[in-house]
Amino acid sequence: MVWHVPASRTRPDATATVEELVEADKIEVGIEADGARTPVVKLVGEIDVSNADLVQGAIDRSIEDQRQQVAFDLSDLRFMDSSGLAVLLRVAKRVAVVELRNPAPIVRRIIQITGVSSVFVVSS
Amino acid sequence: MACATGIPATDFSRERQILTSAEQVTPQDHVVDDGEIISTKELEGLRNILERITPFMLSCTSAASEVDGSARGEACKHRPNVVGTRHREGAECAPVGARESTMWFPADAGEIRRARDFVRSTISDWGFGRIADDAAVIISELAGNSIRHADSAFFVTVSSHRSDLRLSVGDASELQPTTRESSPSANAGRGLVLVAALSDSWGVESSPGGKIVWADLRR
Repeated sequence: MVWHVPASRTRPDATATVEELVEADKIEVGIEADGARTPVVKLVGEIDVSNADLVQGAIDRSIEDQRQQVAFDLSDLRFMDSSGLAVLLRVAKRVAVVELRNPAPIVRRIIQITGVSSVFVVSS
Repeated sequence: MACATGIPATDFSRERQILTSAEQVTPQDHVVDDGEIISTKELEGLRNILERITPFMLSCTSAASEVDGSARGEACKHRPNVVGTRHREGAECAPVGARESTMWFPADAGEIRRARDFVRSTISDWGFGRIADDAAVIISELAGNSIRHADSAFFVTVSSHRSDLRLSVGDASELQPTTRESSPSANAGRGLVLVAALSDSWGVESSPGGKIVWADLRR
């Protein structure tokens, strides 16, 4: 089961972030939690040098002090380059388990080519 | 004319279709940004790079509707040393089946995405759709380097001959790209690792006032 955390009560920052980024027509970062209470960060759009810092900031605010496990829903992330990968790797440095769900073929390929597959749990 | 470089001539009629938000100016080359000439130095640097690799044409960066003839005339009058006829005829040099398209972009990170879109749509039209994702990553990395390390305007040239595709990104910086050791803890330096892995070969050529990084792919 996937449910939305009522952002207005528990995650005001996450809500603000989504609005800020959508307005900038860059990328959408949303947070949910799955049935196992793993925070799920949904990335929508494309990540490159132009917005990697914005995305990083939005993710950081979304997951706050989460240290155990974070999942990224990448099903609507159409594109990322090495700057997008760097964002995910920075999260993996401080969160024990980082799960990547439904990455596009090119995202999966980038992870394999750069030899960082072992850093993530990639699920289709 | 002789075609010393062997690089196919640009099909300008085709390029015109691609530059949907710009107007190609013929027979002279003008660069007009809202009626103002881009700084002479930058423009000359770019021109020098372009001149080395291909017959080329500079285009208005504003929508055609925003730049009228008088603005172009003004630009020519004030910058005769910059705005001159540089369009070289070279159609006879193009190998049969060769295609080439060039577009250039201001020094703005938001342009990287436009560069990807340009490459994706161009090579998909040419029948390279299967490697469009790979090409998009390569362009994103190379254009990203132009912006991040050189803070430079850049141009992207896509050329194909039969099943071979070449992507080139030129900028006005002589700084050479460097590969750094990549490890899970290093957050940078993976860009060129990706370029190398996704292309058959790649390299850097210096050009007057800048450099060109190219990558070859096969359909």
